Amino acid sequence: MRFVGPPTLRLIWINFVHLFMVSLLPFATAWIARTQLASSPVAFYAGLFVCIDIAYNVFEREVLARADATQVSDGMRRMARRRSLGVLASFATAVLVAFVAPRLGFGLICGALILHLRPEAAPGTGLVRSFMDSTRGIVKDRVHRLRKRSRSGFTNR
Amino acid sequence: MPEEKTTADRLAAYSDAVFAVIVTIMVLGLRAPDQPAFSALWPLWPTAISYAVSYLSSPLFG
Repeated sequence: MRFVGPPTLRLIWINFVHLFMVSLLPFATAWIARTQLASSPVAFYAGLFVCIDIAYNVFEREVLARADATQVSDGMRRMARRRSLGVLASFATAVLVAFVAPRLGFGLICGALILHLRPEAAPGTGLVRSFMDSTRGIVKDRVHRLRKRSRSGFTNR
Repeated sequence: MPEEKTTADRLAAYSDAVFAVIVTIMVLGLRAPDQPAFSALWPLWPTAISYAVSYLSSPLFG
């Protein structure tokens, strides 16, 4: 979200549709709870996640199209896109599986959500990595200086 | 302490909060059916339409 400048009408609508579908999650959850993981409610729940994820993919594409190469690298873009499509495929599979084995379908949804939370695929990792690299550089430099100092017998303090 | 200048941000934040509460109340009003079948969703169409229209209207006034 921080990569976007002023919001366009298109972005506002995508966000609106996404939030509308997210707002239906409590309903789907209540239906699953009331029917104790029956197949139709779980399929409905997974289908809702498919819709939410399609809106999310469109939103992500829109946001990444606006971010320039210095903010998000090509590799990171590819990884984010691949992860989002993978999650979408898992949700779609969960819809089909839910008709046969609702509990397994529910497990697939959980797995897809965990995939969404995978930190190494999240945007912003580049920043963490550069921070780690610079920290490593500083530590190496310190160690090198200390070694030099100990070799010279702490004479040049 | 110098008095802070009042901006429209304060109004926008208040409107967002009120609409968030309204959407929450609307969501709580959606009752899930007892039967575990898709056919049980059909009788809910008036609720679904009114919910969608109310949801659509909330940002238009926001």
